[in-house]
Amino acid sequence: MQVTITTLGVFRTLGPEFVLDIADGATVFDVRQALESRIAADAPSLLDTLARSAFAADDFVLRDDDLIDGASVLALLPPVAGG
Amino acid sequence: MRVSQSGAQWFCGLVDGPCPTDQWSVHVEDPAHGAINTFYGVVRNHNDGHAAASVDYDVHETLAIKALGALCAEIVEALPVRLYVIHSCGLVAVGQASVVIASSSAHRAEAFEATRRCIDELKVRVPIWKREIAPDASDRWLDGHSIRRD
Repeated sequence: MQVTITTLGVFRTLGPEFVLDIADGATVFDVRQALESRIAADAPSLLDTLARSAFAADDFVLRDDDLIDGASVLALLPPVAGG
Repeated sequence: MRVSQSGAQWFCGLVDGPCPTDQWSVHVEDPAHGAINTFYGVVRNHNDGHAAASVDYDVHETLAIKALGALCAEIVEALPVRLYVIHSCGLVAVGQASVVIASSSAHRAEAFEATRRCIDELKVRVPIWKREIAPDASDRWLDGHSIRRD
C-alpha cells in the first residue's frame, strides 16, 4: 500500500511530502525504516533528526509498534521548538 | 484567532502572526483572584550567536491545539488558577510576541507556578517549529525536543 508522509519543520526542506510503498500490515517502525532509506540518500544530515521524530495520524501521535492500517497519510513531526 | 479551545477555567488558541497582548484579561480576571501573572515570549534579535530578524512558526494546527488544551486542563486540575495561552503561526518579527500566557489565582504562588509550568511544557509538548530568518534573509530551522512515544 502507499502511505503519504507530510513534512513539517526542518523536513519541509525536502519537499511537502514523501510517498512510500509499504507492505500491508506495516507498523510505524516499518515506515520509519523506509523513510530512513529515502533520507539517507537525499539528506543524510537529517537522519539523527528523523530518529528523534514522531509520526502522527489525524490528531494522534503514534508509537513505533502501532499498525498503520487504514492510515494513508501520516505527519512527520521533528523535535518541537515552540515558544 | 485562527483556532481556539476553552474549558471552565482556561482558554488556548493559535493566531496568525504576532500574538496580541491585550486580550488575556477577560479570560483570567476573577474577583476571587488577587494575583495575575503574565508572560510574553518575544522574538529576539540574536540566538546562539546568530543575528535574527524574524521567526517563522510552523504549526501542526490540529495536534497543537489539542496539546495546548490538554496542557491547560492539566494545569487547572493541579492548581487553583484561571489560565490563558495563545501562540503564533507564521511570521513574527523581532520585538513581537510569539506566545502570551496569563494566569490568575487567589494568591501569587499558584499564578507564578501555572505560568512557568505552561511555558516549560509548551516548549517540549506542542508541535510547533521555528524557522529563524536572519537580517540577510538566510534561514535555519531550530532543533528542539522529541515528542516520540516509545
